[in-house]
Amino acid sequence: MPKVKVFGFTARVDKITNVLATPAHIGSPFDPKSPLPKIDHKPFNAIWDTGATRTVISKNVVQSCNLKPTGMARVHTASGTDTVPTYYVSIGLPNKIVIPILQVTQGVLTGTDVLIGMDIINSGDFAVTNKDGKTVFSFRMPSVDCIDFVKDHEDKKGQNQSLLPRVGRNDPCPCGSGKKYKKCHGRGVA
Amino acid sequence: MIGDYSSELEAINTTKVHYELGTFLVQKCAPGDESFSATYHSRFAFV
Repeated sequence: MPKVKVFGFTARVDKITNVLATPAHIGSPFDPKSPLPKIDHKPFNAIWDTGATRTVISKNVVQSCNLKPTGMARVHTASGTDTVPTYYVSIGLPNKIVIPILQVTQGVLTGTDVLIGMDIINSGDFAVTNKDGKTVFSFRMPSVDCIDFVKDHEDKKGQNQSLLPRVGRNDPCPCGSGKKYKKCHGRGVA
Repeated sequence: MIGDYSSELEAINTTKVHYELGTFLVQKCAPGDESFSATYHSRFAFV
């Protein structure tokens, strides 16, 4: 079986953040099977948005990268349905993650130039955690494994239980109550 | 219609030899409207 190279990055914020932002480099599309073309990517700020089915770029990106429209798309938003131009681009994400060709739509964005949509998010694994009041956002592609916080918790719980000493039903309860285990925390335990 | 191709990149690279980029459209042929529609639940506008 051929080995698949996995690329990923982790962004850490020293507080809880409401916006998942990373840099994104936009350039011309290229064939991933061909030798890498001359890199013409330009850097922009990007926000990751699970509410967007497709990735969006601003007019600023279109002008800066001198992109030409190659299609039209119907877009559905809270304010109705519209038809907008689309562009084929390549996108560079942190830590050398490159998407060689992607069709994006042009939209009016506030505070960012790129909205990373589910078309990119679905191409890999995506997780956000907020332990100790710090947001950690991690992404890898292609998808490698299923992230299941419930299973993870149950597995850890199982490991911890196996580390505890076995308590007999007639032994003193480990909670220190002085009662027998079977009459305290072991009540109902077979 | 100018032609049909097996990939978007092939369509663009072949067509731009004879037509200026920005003067033609590339449309993926697929059943339904998924290939040419997008939904945005976030609050922003398209102008």
